[in-house]
Amino acid sequence: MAELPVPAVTARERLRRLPRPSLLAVSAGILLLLVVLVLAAPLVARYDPNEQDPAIAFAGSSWAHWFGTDDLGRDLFARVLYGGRLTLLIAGGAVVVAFLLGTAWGFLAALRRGIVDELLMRSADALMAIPQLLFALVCISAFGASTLNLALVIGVLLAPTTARMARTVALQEMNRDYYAAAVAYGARRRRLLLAELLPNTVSLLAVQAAINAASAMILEASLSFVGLGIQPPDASWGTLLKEGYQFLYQRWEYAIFPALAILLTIWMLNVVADQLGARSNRGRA
Amino acid sequence: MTPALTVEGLTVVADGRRGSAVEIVRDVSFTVARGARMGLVGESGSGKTMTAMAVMGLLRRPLRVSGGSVLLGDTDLRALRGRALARVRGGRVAMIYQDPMQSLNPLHRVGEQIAEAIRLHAEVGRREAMARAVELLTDVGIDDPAVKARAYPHELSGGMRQRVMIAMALAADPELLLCDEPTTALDVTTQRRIVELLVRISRERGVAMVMITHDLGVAAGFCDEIAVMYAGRLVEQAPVRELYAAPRHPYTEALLGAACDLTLPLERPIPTIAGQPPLPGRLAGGCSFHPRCPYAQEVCTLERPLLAAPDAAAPARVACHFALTREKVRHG
Amino acid sequence: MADAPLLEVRSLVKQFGGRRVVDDVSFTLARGETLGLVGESGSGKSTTARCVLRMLEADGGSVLFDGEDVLALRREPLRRLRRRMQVVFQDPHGSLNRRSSVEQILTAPLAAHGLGDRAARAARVAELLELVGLGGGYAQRRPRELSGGQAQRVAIARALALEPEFVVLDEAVSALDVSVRAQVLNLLTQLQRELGLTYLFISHDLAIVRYMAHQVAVMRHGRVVEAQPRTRLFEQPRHEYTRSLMDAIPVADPDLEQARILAARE
Repeated sequence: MAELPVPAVTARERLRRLPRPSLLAVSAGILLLLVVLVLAAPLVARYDPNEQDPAIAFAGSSWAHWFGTDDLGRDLFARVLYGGRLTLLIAGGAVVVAFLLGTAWGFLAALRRGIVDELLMRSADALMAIPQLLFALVCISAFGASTLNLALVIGVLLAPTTARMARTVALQEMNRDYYAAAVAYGARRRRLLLAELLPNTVSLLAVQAAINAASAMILEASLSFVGLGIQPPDASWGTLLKEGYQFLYQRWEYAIFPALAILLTIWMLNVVADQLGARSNRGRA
Repeated sequence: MTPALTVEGLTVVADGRRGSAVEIVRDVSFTVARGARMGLVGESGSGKTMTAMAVMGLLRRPLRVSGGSVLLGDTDLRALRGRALARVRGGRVAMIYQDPMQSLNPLHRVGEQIAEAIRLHAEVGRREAMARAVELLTDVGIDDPAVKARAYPHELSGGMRQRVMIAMALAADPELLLCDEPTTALDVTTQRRIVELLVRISRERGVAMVMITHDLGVAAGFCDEIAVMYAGRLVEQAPVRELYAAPRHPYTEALLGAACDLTLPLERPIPTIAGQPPLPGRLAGGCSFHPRCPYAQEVCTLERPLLAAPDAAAPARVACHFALTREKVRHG
Repeated sequence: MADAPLLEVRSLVKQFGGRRVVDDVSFTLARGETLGLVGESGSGKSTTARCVLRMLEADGGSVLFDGEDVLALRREPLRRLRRRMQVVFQDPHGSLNRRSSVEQILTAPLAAHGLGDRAARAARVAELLELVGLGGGYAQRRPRELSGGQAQRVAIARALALEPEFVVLDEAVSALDVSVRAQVLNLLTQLQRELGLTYLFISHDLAIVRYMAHQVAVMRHGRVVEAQPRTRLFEQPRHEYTRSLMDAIPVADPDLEQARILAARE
């Protein structure tokens, strides 16, 4: 008959009922691990990232130098870890700038509607129409390639998409009855914004923040690649990738490891964004 | 002849963390004869929708069927998996929902969607399927079906969408149609049209139907038989006329009393059921209804009444210790 | 001035994209009474109410609330008026901020108008919960921990927080189950009696309107097609549309209902 033996069924049932770690938890966990590693760089790395030792230039992977060494004999493992600090700092700064600027921009447009809305959104469109890399190139050439400037410029670049997103989710929330009720009892704009709109949109804005973080890293890497990123002797993952690229045929580890670091982080950020998005959609259904 | 649907001892549980499980549907049994229309009546949380989802095999974690059987004709639906289940679902049994947008794809024309459903269950060409789709739209009372077939769901009114969804459910000529609150979101006039349509379809095509509703007014016009659910269990099942004329379970009686129609006396409170419907997992011992029941005695708190025929002559079944004595008091 | 109506709507017009959704709507509402505004979805009944409450801007006509021209008010005077007119919506959970506790939801209106200090507000929350038949134990709950009926009671309590005279009930019981609906309707009538409230009761269900309203206005395609005192409307509906609405109401009587459904097939 079609009936399965009883023990098999219960065993499968038991397996099915075991708590399974969610994709979100796994990807967020990997991201967290990366951040911790990078922050704890002085504890993890056994070498100074900028200490040169021409005697061991272009060494391959070994127990002493896990990722090998570069053209000046610097330990690549240490340089990737320390480079991650700069990359994450720039990406993190850019995300904060984009979030603050973009959310204010989008919410204001949604709340004021009419001509203000029109103006704010047209200017967002205009900014989005300029090729991102070109805009960044001009700004960085003008203001210099400091960590702060990179974070600011990239943050400003990501603000318009964030503003669009913020406006859309704000308008959605404003159509809901709890918002209408708040208008009806005479809540002031500040309260509408901070107590009603923000808490109810923050999960969707978090999705955008994760996407922004990934975009920021790609932009930073692109800028570094054309020489407008972090300046030597410091290096971000982008700069490392660029330097390594020149020596791709002598020492593949040089380019591969920074590239993998970038890839892994961006991949995990995208998974987190996807999962968060799906989750907040489910919360609404 | 075997009934269209036989549900026997159906139990649905929601798995909690740490291996605990809460029973949402408890030991529910009923049959629906071929071409018959049954109403599954109860308030939200009574388990009526979960019963239908279990019949369709649509439960998702943490919900699952933990016991009982579901027979569609002679086919044991619980034994089916994967493709075999998919062939039956949407083929021999279909379901329509309160919100048609849930089962209509907003990006495709409604005609294409119906044609797609037809092709899923029958070997017909694209053109043939489209012709049948238009025919189905005519059957569900849509004027200008050839034109409407080219519309997108959002271009149609709520009642129209509900008709489209019914057409889609009929695409594979099912033996059984489950209707989950199909009229609740509609205006009264549209509501009436949809009920009329479903009754006509059931008669003309011999489709057995189960209508899930909390509205006893709607159920009155639609059903031959009614099963009332409370806290996951059937508490009363009876032919429709009997049930309305002489409800045997206090819950049924109270539901009928609380219904709003044009005969409701004015200037005095509507009779209500005291308290709140219980949460699954936090049920009272004995009869689950006893904390809200005006007739409750001590025995009700201790012993759970079984669903049984109150007397040999009646086709009804009721789960109440005082199904008969209460009757006597009222009539006599 | 006891005879002056609390609310007077004259020739109200609201357009969306050139289409008149509310077309020349007029009615008056006496203090302490209920006006039932009935019609199908898209008839303009909710839009009418939202224009009266200034949640939408009307395109024409006038709204007098206690003699004051509602449509002419700006900013602060409008905010002050909002204390006197409140609203309860259809979807109990949708109308509560799901990130707030019941206490936060109920104190928000008080905070918006700077009423009371911390202790006074907490006392008011307890009082309001009592008023709508919920115990003080509900103050710390979140909306998702409430049943539909409980959530709607919280929404009613929020509407009453500012001690308004006028409450719009916009399909306020339509999403509730039969037994819960009966409880909430009883609560609303009791509150009206105790607090002397004036209701604008919007519903697509004539049976409920008949129970709740003293006056009834039937709307269709943005217009009021018939307005009469309740008893007269239900005894002698003048407009054919009203009659068709009445006929459509299902009755909990299988013989009658099934006969009507069979008759419709001919």
